[in-house]
Amino acid sequence: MDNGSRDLIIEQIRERISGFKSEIKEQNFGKVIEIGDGIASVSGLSEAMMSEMLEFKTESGSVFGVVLNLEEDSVGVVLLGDGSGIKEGDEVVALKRILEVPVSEDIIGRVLNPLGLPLDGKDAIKAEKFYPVEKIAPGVITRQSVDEPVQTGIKAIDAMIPVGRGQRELIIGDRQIGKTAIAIDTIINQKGQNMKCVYVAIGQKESKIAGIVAKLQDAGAMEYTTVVVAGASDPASLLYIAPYAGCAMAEYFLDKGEDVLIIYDDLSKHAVAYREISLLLKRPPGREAYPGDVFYLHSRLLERACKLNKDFGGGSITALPIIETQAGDVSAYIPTNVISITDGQIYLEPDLFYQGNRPAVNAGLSVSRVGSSAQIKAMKKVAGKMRLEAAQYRELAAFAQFGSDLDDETKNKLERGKRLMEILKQDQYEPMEVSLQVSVFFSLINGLMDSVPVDKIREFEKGLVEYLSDNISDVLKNIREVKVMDESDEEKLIKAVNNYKDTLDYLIK
Amino acid sequence: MKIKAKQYAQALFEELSNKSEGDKSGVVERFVGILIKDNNVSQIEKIIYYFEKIWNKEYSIVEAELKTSQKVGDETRNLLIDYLKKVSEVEDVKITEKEDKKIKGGFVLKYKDKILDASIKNRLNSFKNNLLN
Repeated sequence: MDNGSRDLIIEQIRERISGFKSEIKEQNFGKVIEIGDGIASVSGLSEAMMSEMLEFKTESGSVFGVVLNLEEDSVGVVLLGDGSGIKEGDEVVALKRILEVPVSEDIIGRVLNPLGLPLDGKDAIKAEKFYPVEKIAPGVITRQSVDEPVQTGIKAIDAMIPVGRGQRELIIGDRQIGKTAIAIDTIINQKGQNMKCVYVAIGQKESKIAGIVAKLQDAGAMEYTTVVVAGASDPASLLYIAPYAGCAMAEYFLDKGEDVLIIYDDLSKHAVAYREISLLLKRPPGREAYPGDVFYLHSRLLERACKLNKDFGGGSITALPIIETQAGDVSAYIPTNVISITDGQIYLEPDLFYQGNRPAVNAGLSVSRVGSSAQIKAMKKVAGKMRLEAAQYRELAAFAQFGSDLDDETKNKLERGKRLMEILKQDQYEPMEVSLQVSVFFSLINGLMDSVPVDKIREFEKGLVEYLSDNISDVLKNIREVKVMDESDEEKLIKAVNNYKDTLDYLIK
Repeated sequence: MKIKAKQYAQALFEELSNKSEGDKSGVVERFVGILIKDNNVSQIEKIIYYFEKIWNKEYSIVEAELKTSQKVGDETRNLLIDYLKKVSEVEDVKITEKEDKKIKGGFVLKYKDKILDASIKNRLNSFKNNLLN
């Protein structure tokens, strides 16, 4: 190192030191009266605010907590770390700051805990700003109705239960049925779609999270994704703030006018963590021992999902909360609450799953209240007919089990329906691009697949997709960019499908 | 209904305030008798805590704790007392002093539920944090 750079370093150090001004401030302090189960009761602190951060000074260092209860002579606090070193009588200082998380472009591609600390072994986040964890949702004036699609890449969802940017769509079903798989596929499919993603894992096994992060990395999805983790072994307080912290990170991108997709996996564990905290704080229990404000717990979180209008940046937050039901009971307390808050739900059914219909989306019970305004024109054109075919098939299939003599029209409907059910099957981690989805559905509803045997449909589809990408990429590009399919495109598509069929030998003659 | 420590303290204070010096010990004796009868002797520490609070408020006193690394001179102490009288708007300040080598220099002043940490240790810590960020 030469003298020049040495002097420069010394000069910089000198500048930092001379620029430092120590400020002595009066602080509000209190003493620990009671501690246990991650909850503390603290005397003094007459100026403490709701959700204010507190610092517990122990012999082995500082532990932080958040005010959740304000009482006459004391405050109730949840600890955000290990409270085993805290003793009765220890000093607690109010930090005069509402709980907040660091945000910057740096958080993309990282795995963080709900306080913004890294869990991936990399450097700490260089905070550009701090965003409050709890924030009031955007008001009526700032919003706009949902009109742009989120392409999940899952055929059954994009066609029949479209999700729009700014929508809240619940994913609900029993355990081990592919709820997380839908969310992860959706994240993977956001590549090149101008979308930032935040995946919030609440109370999940750390091994499962490690698997998900590895999968996202392999798919190149970590380039636009942040993972916020409150694992199964973290205290209930971290599980409780995790979704709010994830949402605060999403709001940073929203304020820059970007579109964000946020996944809360899952809110039933979040409700359980909040119930634990509430009961320890001696708040009265209600139905299923949940506290009275468990509805507000989720409504204030999901209300922060929004589509802002142009005057306010035009960004959006799309929320995909996940709820795990017990033995298919959607009428339990938390599922009904969240169903009523969201703009629709994707219901996954065990029976379908074990029959091999994966993703096991029940098209009858699943709805999207935003509807077709969240679909591109080309998709709207084919999806309407698809939905009708699917509904007719479901009705006829139940009916046809009893009778054997069926007229030709019914038989045709049943055959078409069987093929439709096959088309809706899709493997995990293989999201399909929207123009290909439109082409496949178009072929199906126009009877171009009627000559393909049902058990060969998936093979046919795979080959068709490859053939179309190679041969009519101009049509696909049109669908993708102009978002409509005109008559000349339709003709080209029909011709291409027929050409492909000519190369096959398993067709029904 | 269960009587709370704060209510006991309030009652004791009110009873004492309109009694002459001679009667006061009798009042305290009867008060302890009531506590024993109500099976509430275990609450005595809380009652004392609240009693002190009520007393200090009524007579405009503030209790403070001053922690320094070495003994403070009268001049500094008077300055601090004047400061406390001004900020908490009271007439009398009771200061207890403590020596603690760990704070290295400066002082830590605690009164009511406020803390004024002007110790060298605290300043070094914030300097460290400033350099790290």
